[in-house]
Amino acid sequence: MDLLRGTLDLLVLRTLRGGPAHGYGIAKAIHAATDEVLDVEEGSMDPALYRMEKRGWIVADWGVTDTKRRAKFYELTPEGRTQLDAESSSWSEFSSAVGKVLESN
Amino acid sequence: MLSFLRRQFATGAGGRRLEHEIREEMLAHIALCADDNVAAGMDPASARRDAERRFGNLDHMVLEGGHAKRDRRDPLGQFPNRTDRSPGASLMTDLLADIRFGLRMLVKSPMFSTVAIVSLAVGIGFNTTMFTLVDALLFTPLPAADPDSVVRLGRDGTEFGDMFMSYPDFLDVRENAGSFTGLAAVRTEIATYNADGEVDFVFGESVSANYFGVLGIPPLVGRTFAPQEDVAGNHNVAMVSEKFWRDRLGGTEAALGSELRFGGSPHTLIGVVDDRYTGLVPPLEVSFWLPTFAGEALRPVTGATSGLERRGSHSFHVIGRLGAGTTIEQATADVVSIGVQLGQDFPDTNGEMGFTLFQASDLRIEPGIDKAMLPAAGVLMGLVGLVLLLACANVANMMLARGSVRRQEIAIRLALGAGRGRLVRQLLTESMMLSLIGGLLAVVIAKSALQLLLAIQPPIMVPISLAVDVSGRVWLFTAVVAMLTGLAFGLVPALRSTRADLSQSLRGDEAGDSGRLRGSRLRSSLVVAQVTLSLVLLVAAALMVRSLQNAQSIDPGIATESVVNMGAALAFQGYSPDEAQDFYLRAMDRIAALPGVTQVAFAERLPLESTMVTSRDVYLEGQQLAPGEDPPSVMTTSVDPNYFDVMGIGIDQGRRFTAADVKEAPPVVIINEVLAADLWPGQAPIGKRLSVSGADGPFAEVVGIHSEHKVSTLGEGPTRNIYVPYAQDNASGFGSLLARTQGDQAAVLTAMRQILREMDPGLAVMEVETISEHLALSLFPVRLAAAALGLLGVIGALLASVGVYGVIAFAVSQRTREIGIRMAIGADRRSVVRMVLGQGMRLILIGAGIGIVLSLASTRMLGALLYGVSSVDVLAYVAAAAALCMVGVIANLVPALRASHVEPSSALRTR
Repeated sequence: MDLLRGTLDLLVLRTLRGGPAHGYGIAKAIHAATDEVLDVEEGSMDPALYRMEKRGWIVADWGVTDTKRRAKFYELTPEGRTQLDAESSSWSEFSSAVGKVLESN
Repeated sequence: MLSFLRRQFATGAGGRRLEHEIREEMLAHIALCADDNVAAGMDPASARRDAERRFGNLDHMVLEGGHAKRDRRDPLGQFPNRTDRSPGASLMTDLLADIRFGLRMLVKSPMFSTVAIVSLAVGIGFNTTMFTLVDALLFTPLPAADPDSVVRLGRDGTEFGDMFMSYPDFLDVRENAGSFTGLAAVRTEIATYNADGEVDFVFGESVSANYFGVLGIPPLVGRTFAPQEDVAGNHNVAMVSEKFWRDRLGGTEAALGSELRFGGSPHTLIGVVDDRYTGLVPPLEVSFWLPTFAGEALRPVTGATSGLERRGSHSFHVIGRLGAGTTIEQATADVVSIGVQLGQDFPDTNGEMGFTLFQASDLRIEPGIDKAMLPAAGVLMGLVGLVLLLACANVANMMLARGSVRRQEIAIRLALGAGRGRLVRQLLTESMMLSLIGGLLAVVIAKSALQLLLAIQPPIMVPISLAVDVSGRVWLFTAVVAMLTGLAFGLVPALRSTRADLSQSLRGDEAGDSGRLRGSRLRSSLVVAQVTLSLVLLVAAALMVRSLQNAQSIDPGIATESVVNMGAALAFQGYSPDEAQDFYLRAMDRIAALPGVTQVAFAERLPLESTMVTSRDVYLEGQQLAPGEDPPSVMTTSVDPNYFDVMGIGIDQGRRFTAADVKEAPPVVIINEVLAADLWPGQAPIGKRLSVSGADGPFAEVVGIHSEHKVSTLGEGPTRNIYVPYAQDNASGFGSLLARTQGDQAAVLTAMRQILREMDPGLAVMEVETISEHLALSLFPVRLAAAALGLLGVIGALLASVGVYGVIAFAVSQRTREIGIRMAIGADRRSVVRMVLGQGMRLILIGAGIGIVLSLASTRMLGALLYGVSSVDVLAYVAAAAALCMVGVIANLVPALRASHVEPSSALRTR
């Protein structure tokens, strides 16, 4: 299933709330958490991360993975946490509104 | 300044570092994914491949490393701040990347690309075809060496025949002008060519011996004329065109030295002229060249002295080559002063006239005709331009629709930092590619269209040839038109789709996008414009069809059934008028005896003959013309007594000619009512006297009034006309032999031709035709115009219907949800169809309305081609509008029906 473009930020931020992760790890986590329904195309993950880093929602640092690979690890900033809260609540609002419409018939 | 530089530097370095980091990270990303694959049991190589594949579109830019192909890593303009390239190189590599990306986009939506390219190819193709014709006719320079120094001598102070000079004047200018390295004379000739008994007419030029030298055209084979060959009494050398040489003489050098019979006398072939030069005056194609004196010998004898000795006989074009360092102004002053001198020396012939010079490249035929042809060419280019506009509107429409579909793609790129200018450039590259591919196809279309067009030789004996090769100029024109086209239909969609509201588009939220409404309004206006333009074309086409219908039903006033005609221009074949008369009379006796022939007649020319005009000035007895007043000029034809019976022309008053109207008898004429009313209003014309042989008579008595018939063209109103008895007036030497037949006309024509052949084996017969064939010839222009405009109209309507379909189909796809809701709350299929149809038909009706107004204003230009049809003909307008509306309904019905099959539940669930 294709990921709605605007929700990628929300999913990334939510994933990072569990602790630092690298881009590939985030993508894998989203894939697993949605019962393999959502598949983030790897090519769009990195630009999204770059964009969020620039907005100050996340910070990055180079580290080494379990498999001894060099990779960039991302961590949520306080601004990112605020953003996550705001986006989460507006998403809930939106999805419950959609739900109401769908159930109304 | 220093700080600015430092800042620039920092950004540059930062940009590089950033880019490097992203690359590193992506590589890490792929490595991690590959590790997972290995853990899942893949072998390392396919694990890596799979990881790279899953990484998607951006792969090469990472994989190809940081140095060698650096520029290819930014195909989408994501990193506009890169400063490590020179601007020129960056433009070039961006362009290459854009072209690659554009090609991918074109291949990705083949339906869109095909429709766009075909629309453009047709639109540009029409323009290329028309331009090639106009270019060949008006702008192809004389194929001379160093054409800039070639000039043409003309006469000043004359209304007609500006470019014609008399031979003595030519000699005097050549003798006295110091500004030229050479002056040469040329004149068009017509002659019979007799190849082993097969005789036909060919066109040629007689030229002064230095002609090809002055033009700088070397002979393809053999040599050109020597001065001693261009003198009186030496008439035996000729050159021929490359085409003539190949088609008729085998195209080998062995043909040199052979005897060619032009005008009945033998000429030795000394050279062949390259086909680049086919005569001075286009589009007449000439086949042979003779020295001036030999050419003069081909002409009918018309006076006591040779035409080359008469200063008042203006028949030569004169070309010159300016001497080195001489300007055209200096040379003009030179010939002007010679003209003044000649005016003093020969006041009778030269008193009223001076000389002037034209740059040869500024002239096509002659100044007056050129002036008339340019606007005509403009109208034609305008018409095909309309078709191109239609195609442009179509493609612009499709681009706009696609722009909305690609909005998310574009928004993401903008979000990632691509500059708007960069994106516009890339979208423009895509439209340019469409139009350039269309342009290439257009040249292919134009080539076959030209072949078709040139196959339609108008049914006249004059050979027409145009250098309609797809020349460099044509390629250039097509390229420029294609680029402008690409810009025209690409710029607005590109600007519009890159102006997308970022956040909304990223979220995929279309409903709140105010740009969508504006976009649909723009698309609707484009459709209205298309409908308008195609209605103008359709109205023009309908008018032409009506005109053709009318022209076919016009009563020419002469018999069209059972009459055949055979023309022989004896004047061109060495016959004096008296010899010609004798020949015609003997031929008629023999034709009258043929089985199937009931009656024969003679006419100097037939009604509706377009190739020969024989007007004469009419003087009345005792009439004093006011100074400066010209006598009326009236078409005058000499005919024999049987003519009126055979041609079915009635005598309303008085009598027809009889056998008693011979040379010695008092001269008589038969005129028509219109002329009688003009000359003697309110009086009985019979018995009145007029002269067609000059102010001093002899004056001829009007003995009859003939019934009206068309004189020169089918479309003319009542036209003044005079008949004189052939027995009293045989001066022209031309003639048509007419026979009323019973049964097989073809057999009679064959037998007539055989009789002429037996009477003079060297004779060329000009026309062999039935009278209905003769009439068909006069319909040729209107037939051609109807076919051409009809084609343009149909193509235009098709393009417009594709446009209407596209817009409505797109609107329906955008409104699927709304339609679903309407149906969910109780709208039935019929009302949905009605709603969608109504939306489309509103556009069509608005366009048709504007189109009718525009047509009323513009079809007046067709005036001369309209036979008995007013340019505001109601039927034509109704037919055109109805045809367009019908096409519109069909184009609308498909999306409307599709809309009515929307499933309310699924429509609501999408998005």
